[in-house]
Amino acid sequence: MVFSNLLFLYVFLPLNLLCYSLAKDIRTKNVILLIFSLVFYAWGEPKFVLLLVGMTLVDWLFSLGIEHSRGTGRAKLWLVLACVFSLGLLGIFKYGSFTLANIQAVTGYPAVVPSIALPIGISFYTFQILSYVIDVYRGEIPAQHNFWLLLMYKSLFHVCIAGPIVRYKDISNELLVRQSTPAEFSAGIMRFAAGLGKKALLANTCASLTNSILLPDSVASNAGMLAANIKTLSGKPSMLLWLGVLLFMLQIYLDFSAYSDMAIGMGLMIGFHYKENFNYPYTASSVSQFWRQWHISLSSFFRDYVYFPLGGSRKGLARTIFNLFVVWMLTGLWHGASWNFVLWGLYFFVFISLEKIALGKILDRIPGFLSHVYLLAVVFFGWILFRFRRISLVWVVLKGLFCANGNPFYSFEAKTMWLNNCFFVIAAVIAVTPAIKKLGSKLKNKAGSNPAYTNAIAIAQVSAVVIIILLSTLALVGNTYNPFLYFQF
Amino acid sequence: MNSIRIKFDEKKERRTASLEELLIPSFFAVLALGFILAFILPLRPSVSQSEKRKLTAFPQFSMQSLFSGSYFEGIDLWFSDTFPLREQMVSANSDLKKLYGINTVQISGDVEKGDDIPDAPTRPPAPVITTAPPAETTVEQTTEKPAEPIKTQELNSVLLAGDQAYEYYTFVRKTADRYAAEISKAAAKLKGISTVYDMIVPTGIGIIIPDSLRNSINSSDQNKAIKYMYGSMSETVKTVSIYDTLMAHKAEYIYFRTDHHWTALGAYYGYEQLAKAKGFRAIPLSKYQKVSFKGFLGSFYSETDKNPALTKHPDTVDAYKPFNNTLMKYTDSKGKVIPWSVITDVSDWSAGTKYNAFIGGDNSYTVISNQETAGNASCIVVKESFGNALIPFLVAHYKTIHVIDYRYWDGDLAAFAKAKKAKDVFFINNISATRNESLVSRMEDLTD
Repeated sequence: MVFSNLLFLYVFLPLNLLCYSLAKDIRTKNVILLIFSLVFYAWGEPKFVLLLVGMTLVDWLFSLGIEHSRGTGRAKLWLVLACVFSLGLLGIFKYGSFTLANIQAVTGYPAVVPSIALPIGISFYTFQILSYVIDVYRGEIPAQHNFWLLLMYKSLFHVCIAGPIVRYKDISNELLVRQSTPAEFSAGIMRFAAGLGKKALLANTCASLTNSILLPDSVASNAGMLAANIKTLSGKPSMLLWLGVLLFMLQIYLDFSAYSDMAIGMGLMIGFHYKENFNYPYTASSVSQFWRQWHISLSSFFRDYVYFPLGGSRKGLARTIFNLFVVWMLTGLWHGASWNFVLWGLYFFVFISLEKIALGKILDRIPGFLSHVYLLAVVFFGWILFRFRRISLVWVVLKGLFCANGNPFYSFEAKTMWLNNCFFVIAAVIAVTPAIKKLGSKLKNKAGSNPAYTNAIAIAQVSAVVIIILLSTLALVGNTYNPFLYFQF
Repeated sequence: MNSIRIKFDEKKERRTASLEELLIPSFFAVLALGFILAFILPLRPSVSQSEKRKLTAFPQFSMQSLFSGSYFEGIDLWFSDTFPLREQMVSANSDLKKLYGINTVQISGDVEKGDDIPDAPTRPPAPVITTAPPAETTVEQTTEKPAEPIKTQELNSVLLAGDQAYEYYTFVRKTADRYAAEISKAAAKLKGISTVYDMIVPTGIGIIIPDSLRNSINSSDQNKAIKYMYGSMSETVKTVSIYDTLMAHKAEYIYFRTDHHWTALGAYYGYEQLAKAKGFRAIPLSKYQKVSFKGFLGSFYSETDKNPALTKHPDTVDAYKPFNNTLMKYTDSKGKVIPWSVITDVSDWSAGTKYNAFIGGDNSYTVISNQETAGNASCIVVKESFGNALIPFLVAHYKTIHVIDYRYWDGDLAAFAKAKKAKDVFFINNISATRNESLVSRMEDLTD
């Protein structure tokens, strides 16, 4: 199940909130949450519930082992085993086919590459449980003795299948003591509605337009259609390709941050405080800053569990660069078992390294808008690499943007596409900036303590929430399938 | 200072309280409304009138579908696809989408630039027929293609300007050459048996498109393309040019707005030219009884995702009934022969199917016999759906008309013509068919 689904919105969520609010004590609340979470997961992956539960059980035992043998070498052994076990499962399910396909390409064996189904959310929940085991080993938190609580943490439907990657230590206290005040509940509702609107009204439209310009992923990834795809893409007018990549750039942020918004919002409704996962990344003015504002729970995971343990930037420039290389290769690979994702990660490695060496200082000195343009350009071209698993298509689109395929810049049809969607694009661009948030707080400040104004603002906020939910419903009815983009990761 | 701060905080408390008091109940009210609505099962539609399809049914339970997840996925689909008031909501949503931009012109689908049309046609040497025409016995093997239907309705991109839609035409040199060669080959094979006439029917985008758009859009020049293809055919083929005639009548209702076909009026102008080429006098339109079927929403309607501009202005299918007493029989997809009428009353048919008023729609083989004509003149029409609107006008001129929809019919054309003693073979093909490789391949099967 996904959040932008009418069954979720009008059945699962109301039932969940109703049962939850009827429960008197935290124990019952947790049981309800666990059951709902397992049903939520099973809805999409009935078989893999066993994987989810089994992985948690084994890691739970390892964490108890670590705590039991704290201070001895055995603790480290348990940690290593836990990592090998969890990452091993991730490796088999996510990278098994990819690895075998590459081995086959080089050696000719195996003759047939089995296709292994990717369990939904495995990249997210594996990292969640790893953060738990490592933090137990580091002594930052005690091991959780109650298996069911750990399972609840790991399967929590808010975040289990598409993040944010919530660390155990950040919410361990809230597993047993949590409360949502009416103010927080309201904030949660607004956050949830904002996410729903971003997904159903903006991201889904971006997706269908992008697919019509840059080919749907199922077509673009099809090896048998490569020649036809190259022909199609290389004939596209440049102004259309710019629109396509721009829309994809908007889509991927709106889609993914929408999911985080909804997760954070639902957390707030019941007293969980998940950390922010995005902080208007497209307003950044360097690549390093972009990655501090984009998918924060992932980049901080790699920072804390890979980059820092490798020595971070404290062991000289050469070692720093090496550490960055490792982190960015892993970041790329985390996004998908395909070489384009690895290249995409390394692409950012290059810019971040350059910024570490000299570029960062230059960016600090030049006017703000220039550094901002630099960041947007880097990210824009990066998304082309992210979009196409086949590098030849990346190249075709890249050349096409500059009319280097013999393609025209203008066509009547491309102009029509721009005109048909001009207001939509403007709205989507506004939605990726903090403009609305800023406007809201400005209005609130202006209203000050004038009760007439504050009431008007409250009514406007309530109306906005109701309208967004209703409009999203319109957009989702009859819309047969709209998975979140980050599902594939 | 401290006291002021406290006061301010108190105000803030009160202010947020008023938001919560409104927001939380409103949120739950919306969810509750959706919940209740969702479970009023009788309100759930099972068919979509506007999309002309059956909606997703509640999935059948099986252990296998349960474990694979497809059972739950099916429930998801059923839930949102058959949501109560879906038709109203979907149409409200498409109204909402009008706000996305400036929509004087809209295009659905991917427009590809056509090949350049050569200025000078290439007239190939008359094809060498290596095999003798097969014996008549093969005629009996003329059977329905039992395999899954080939994809015949493959529209190119669609341009919507105002309440009129057009299908793009992309000239594809290779396919156009194959088409011209195939007609020449058919003429060569039919030599001594029948005369081959070829009519390439332009589509709306080549005729009725406003001049303001004609030169900007990336649709190939149909006049030039038709001239090229006609010029590339062997001289034994009698080509029937209708481009100029249709251009002369372009202000009339000769193409549908919501569908890619021509109207019966457009087909009549085509028929006039055919009559001229054939040497018989065209019967004036006024001699026919006209019947009209309102509320037609054709292929463009579904292709443009039910664009509201089209919904608000549906087409009317006019048909002209043959005045002779006729008998018509067609062979359906199961091979069954069914008596039918040349013009069917489709008033009660669903909005998308009204073009089937003509000769019972697309069937592999249809035979129409005129009970009032003396003599034995018979002809064969090889067509896809554009031919349907024209064939009723031919009824008065022949004792028997054999209609072959080459997309579904299997057999040898020459042997068939010989068996049926058809003196005339008319190829009536819309120009989009001549750029469609799979259709031209099917035509080639007629002479293989």
